[in-house]
Amino acid sequence: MKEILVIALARLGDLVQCFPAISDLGRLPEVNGVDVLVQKDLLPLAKLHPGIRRVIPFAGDDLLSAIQHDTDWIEQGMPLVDELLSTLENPRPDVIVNLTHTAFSGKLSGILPSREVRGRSFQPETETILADRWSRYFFTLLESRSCNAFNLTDIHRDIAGGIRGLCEKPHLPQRALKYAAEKLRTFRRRPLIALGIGAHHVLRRWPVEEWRRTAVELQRSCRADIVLVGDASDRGAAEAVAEPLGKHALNLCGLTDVEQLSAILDRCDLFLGHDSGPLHLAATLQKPCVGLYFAMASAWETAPYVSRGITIEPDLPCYPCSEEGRCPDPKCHRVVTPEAVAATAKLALRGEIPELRSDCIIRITDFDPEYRLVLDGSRKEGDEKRLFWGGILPAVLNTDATFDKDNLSLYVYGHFQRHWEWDLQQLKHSVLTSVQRTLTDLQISPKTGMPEDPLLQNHPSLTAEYPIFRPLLDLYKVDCLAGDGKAVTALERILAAQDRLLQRISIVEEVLTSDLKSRIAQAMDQFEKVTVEPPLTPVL
Amino acid sequence: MDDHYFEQNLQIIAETDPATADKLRSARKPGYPEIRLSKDRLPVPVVGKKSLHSTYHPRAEAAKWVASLKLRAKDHTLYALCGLGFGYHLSELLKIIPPDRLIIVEEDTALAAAALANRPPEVFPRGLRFITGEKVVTAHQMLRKTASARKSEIRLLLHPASTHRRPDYYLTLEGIFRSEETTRHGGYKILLVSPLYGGSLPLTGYVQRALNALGHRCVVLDNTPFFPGFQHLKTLTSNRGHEARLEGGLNALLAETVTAKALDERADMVLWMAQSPAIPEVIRELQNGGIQTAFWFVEDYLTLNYWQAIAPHLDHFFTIQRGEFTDKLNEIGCENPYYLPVGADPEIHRPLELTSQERKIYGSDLSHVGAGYHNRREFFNGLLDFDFKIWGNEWDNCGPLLRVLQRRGERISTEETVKIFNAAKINVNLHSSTYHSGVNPFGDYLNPRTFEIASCGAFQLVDERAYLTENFTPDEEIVTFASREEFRDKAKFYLEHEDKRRKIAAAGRARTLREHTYQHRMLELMGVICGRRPDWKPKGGDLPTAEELIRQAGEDSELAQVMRRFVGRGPLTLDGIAGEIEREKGELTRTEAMILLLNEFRQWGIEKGVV
Repeated sequence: MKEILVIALARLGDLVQCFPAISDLGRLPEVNGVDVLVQKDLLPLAKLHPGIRRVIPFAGDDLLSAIQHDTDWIEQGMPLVDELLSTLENPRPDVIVNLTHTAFSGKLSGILPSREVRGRSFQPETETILADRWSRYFFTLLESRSCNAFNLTDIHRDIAGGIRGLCEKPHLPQRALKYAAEKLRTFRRRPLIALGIGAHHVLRRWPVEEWRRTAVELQRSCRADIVLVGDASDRGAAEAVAEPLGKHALNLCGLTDVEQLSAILDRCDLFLGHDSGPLHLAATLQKPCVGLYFAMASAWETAPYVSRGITIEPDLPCYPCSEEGRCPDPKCHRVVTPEAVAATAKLALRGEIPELRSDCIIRITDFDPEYRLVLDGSRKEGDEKRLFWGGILPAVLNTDATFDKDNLSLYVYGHFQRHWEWDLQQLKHSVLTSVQRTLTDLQISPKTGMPEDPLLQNHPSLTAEYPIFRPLLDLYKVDCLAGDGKAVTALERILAAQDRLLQRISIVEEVLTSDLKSRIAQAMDQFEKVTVEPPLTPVL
Repeated sequence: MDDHYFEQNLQIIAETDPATADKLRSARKPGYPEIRLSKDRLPVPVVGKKSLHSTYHPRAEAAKWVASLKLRAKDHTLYALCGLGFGYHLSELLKIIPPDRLIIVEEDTALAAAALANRPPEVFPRGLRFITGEKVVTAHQMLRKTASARKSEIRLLLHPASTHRRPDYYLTLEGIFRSEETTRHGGYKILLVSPLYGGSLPLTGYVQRALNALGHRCVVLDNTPFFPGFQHLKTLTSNRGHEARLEGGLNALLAETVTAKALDERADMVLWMAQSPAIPEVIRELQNGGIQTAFWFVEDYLTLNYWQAIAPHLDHFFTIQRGEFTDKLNEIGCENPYYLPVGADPEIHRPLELTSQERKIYGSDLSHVGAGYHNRREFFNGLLDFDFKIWGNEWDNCGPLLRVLQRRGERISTEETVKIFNAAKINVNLHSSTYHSGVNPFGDYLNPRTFEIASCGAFQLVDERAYLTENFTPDEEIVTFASREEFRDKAKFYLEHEDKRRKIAAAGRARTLREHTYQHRMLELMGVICGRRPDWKPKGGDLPTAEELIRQAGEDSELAQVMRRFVGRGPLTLDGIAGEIEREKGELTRTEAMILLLNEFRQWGIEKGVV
C-alpha cells in the first residue's frame, strides 16, 4: 500500500486549485492515505477536503523568525526543520507530489526519502529536477503563456497523475453552517449574490466605482441581496460598494475565517468576483460563478473549475498583460463595463447561457469526457494557437509516445476533427496560423529554426530540457529549408509547410486504427478537393 | 562623412534597438565634443580638456590596454565596456569578444552620438548593445537584467580615460556590482544613526529597510529616547549661550555613543542621517578603527549650516543639492560630495483602499501635509475658496488658514499621512521656504513628499524645481506650477478631469517604482562607497565563526561535524555554508540537507522582504 504526500504550500486560491488533484490521488489503487502539507493558516481549509487523511501545518512564520539572523539558525532554526522533516517522514511517503513549484518545495521534495517525486524536485548535482512531463510543461508555460490552453487545476491533476473523476465537494462543519445561517438570516429574499472585490495584485482589481455601479444594478434589476466577502484589506472598498445598497448588502470582509467564508459562499446563489481565492472556493463548492479577469490574470489559466462557470475578460490586444504588474494605465479596467458584468451575472443567476458580447470576452466552462476543463464562448484572435497546443499536448504528455513530426501531425488532425468538428479548410488555416503565431511569439528565425534574439537563444522553452516546442521547430525547420536552400518568400514557405503537413498525415495513416483510418481516408479525399487559400497575413 | 557614418551606424542599432537609436539621434550636438586629429590622423574626442584617447597613436594605446586585461572569451561571460570614447578600444576588444557578448555603457549620449558620426560602421558591428544616458542605478539594472536573461556572469571593463573623466559614474557602477557581490556573504554591517526628532527621522526606517533588503545588515542607533531630555535642556535656562553649550554637550555625548555602538556591533560603516549627532572627534576615531563614515545631508544647506563642521571630516558626504553647494563643500575641504536625492518606500507609500469613514476624514479637493513655513502661509491664503485641508504642525497664528487647519495643527503620523495622500483629489506640494513668498524661484532639490505622493499613486501639483525634470516628466508623470494663478487654473482643470489625474498619478507611481525608491538610493550609495574604496571588504561584523557554530551545535553533534570543514574560514553566513555544501558532489547527509532547506526558506523570506 502506498503512502502519498502532497506539498501544497500556497495561498487560499492556489490550495483550492490543488483539491481535484488530491481527489484523483485518492482514487489510485493501493493507496493507504494522502497527507497534505499546507501553510499553517490554511489548515482549516485543507481539513474540509474529504479525501485528505492528515493535514500537516507548515509554520512558515515561526521558521522565518527563527532564522532572521545568521547567528541563531543553529539553535532556533534547525530544531524546527528537524521536527518538520520527522513529521513528514512518518509514515515514510512512497510518492511525493509537489504542487507548489518553488525552490523551497523542490528542495523539500528532493530531501525527503521517497521512491518517486512528481513535480519540482532537487538533487545536489543538477539542482532542479523536473522528472515528469507535465512539470516541464508547467515551467515552459511560464515563458509561453500565450500558447497555453490548460487550466492550472488540470495541470496540477496531470502532475499528480491520479485517476481523474468528479471533484469532491468540501465538507462544511456544522458550526460554520450555523454561522452562515445566522449571518444571512435577514436576507430572506432571493437571490443572494456574493461579491469578491479583492485580489492579490492591485492591477487585477476592478475599480471600486465600477463594483458599486454593478452592485446597484444587480440590486435594482434582480432585487438581489449582496454579501461582500474578502479579507480585512478589502473592507474599505467593500464598504464603499455596500453603501448605496443599505440593508440589502452585508460587508463581511475581514470578519470570516475560511470555514465561515465557505459556508457563506455555499448559501449564495451566485459568486461574482475577481480571479481570487473566494472565486476558486466558490467553484469548488460547485456554486455558479462569474469571474472577472484583468491585467495578468487569464481565464485560460485560472477559470473557475466548475461546469458552466463564466469568465469575463477585456477584449484588448494587450491582454493578458505582459507588463509584470507595472502597467501605468490599465485600460482593461475601463473596457469591461458594469453593464456588461451585471447583464452577464443576471443570466448566470437564471442558469441561462450568457450572450456573447462585442465589448468583452465571455467564456463558459465545461468538462470534457476526460474531466478536463474546456472553454467555450467568445473566440479571440490567438485562441486557435491555444487550441492547437491544447489538442496535442495531453496525448503526448500523458503517454510515453515519441513526440515526433508524424505523431504531431496525427494529433493535430485527429484532435481538431474530434473536438471541434472543424472542416478541413478551417483545420488547415488553424494549424498554419498557430504555427505562424507561435513562431512569431518566440521570434524564431525561418532560416535556422532558432530564435533570432540572442537573448532568447538560451530560452528554457527551446533548450533540450524543455522539449515542448521542439517538434514544432523541427517541423518548421525542415519546411523552411526545403528545396534548393535559396530564399523563398514567406508565403511560399507557408504553402510548403502546408503540403508537407498533408504528406505526413498520409504517412502516419498506416499506423491508425481501422476506424480512424477510414475517417482519415475520407478526409484525405476531401482534402484533395479543397482549394487551399493562403493564410490571411503571412507574418514571417 | 559624419552624417553618412552616423546614419549607417544608427541604422544598424535601430534594427535591434530602435529606442536607443532615436535617443542617440536626438542627442547629437553639433561641435561637441572638440575633436583633434592624432599623429596618425585619427579623430580623438577631447571633453573638458581631457582627451579620451592617445593623441599620438589611439589604436596602439587601445591594443595595449586590451592586452593588459588578459581576456579570454569565456562562453558565458557578458562584458560591459564602460566608456565608449571613439571606440578604438572597442575595436580591439571585438578581436577577442563577439559583439553579442559586449554591451557598451556610455553615460554621455551626445559623446556616443559623436562616436557614431566619426567612426565607420565596422567599428560598431551588428549584435552590439548600447546603454547610454541612463542613471547609474538604471544602467546597473539593465546590465543585471540582460545578464540574468542570458544566464551569464557579467564583467565590467572600465575604460581608463572615460573613468577619469566621470569617476562618479563609472566607479559607482563598478562599486554597485562589488557591493552586490558582498551580499552573497552577508554584505556590510552598517550602523545607521537616527536623529532625535525631525523630518529625516522617518527616513531612517526607510533607509534601514532598503539596506537590509539589498542584503546588508543594518542596525539603527535610535536616538529618539533622548528627545525629551533635549527638550528639557531648553527649559533649564533662558540664556542662549548656556542653552547652546548644554545642547553641544548632549550632542557630544550622543556622538560618543556612536563609537560605542559601532565597535559593539563590529560595524563596517556608520551612516548618519541628517541632524543625527556627529562630531569630528568621533568621526576620526571611527576612521582610525577602519570604519567608513558617511553622512546623508537631506537638508537645504541654506537653512541649516551644521554641515560646515562635519563635512570635511567624513569619508563620504551625500547631499540633495549640487552646484553651488558642491563648490562650498569643496571650499571647506570636503572633496567629493555626492548628490543623492531622497525617495519613497513603496512598502509604506502605497495605494490604499480607504473606508468611507476614512475618505470622509482624510479626503478633500486640495490637501497639504507639512509644516507652516512662511511661503506656504502666504500661498495657501489664496486657496481658501477651494475645499482645502491643511495637516501638520507649526501653523501657530496662521490667521484665516485656521479654518482649514486639521486637528489644530497636531503632528501627523506617517500612516495617516499616507491615508491623506490617498484620499486627496489633489495633493498640494509647495516646497518650504523661509525667504520667499509662494514659489521659491531658485528652488532646486525635491522634498521626500514629491516621491512619497507619487509612490502612493496619488495626484500632486508641485512647484517648479530645478531638479524636477530629471526625475519626472512634467504633464505626464507629475504636474507643476510656478505661481498661484497657474496653480489655481490647473487645480480647477484637474478637479474636473479625474481620468487625467488618475493617468498622471499612475505614471508617476510607475516611474517612482522604477527609479526612486530607497532601495535605488541605497544601491547607489553603497556603489559610491565601494567604487571609491575598492579594498573595502566586510569584516564579517557579528557573523559567527565555525568555532562558535560548533559550540552552539554541541561538539559531538552531526552538525558540528559538518561545521568542522569551515574552521579557520572566519565569519560565516548561512548562505555561504549552504552554497558550499551545494557545490560539493555526492550524497547529502540529513544534516546537510536540513541546512540547504533552511537556507532556501531564508532566501525566500529575503526575497519577500520578511527577513
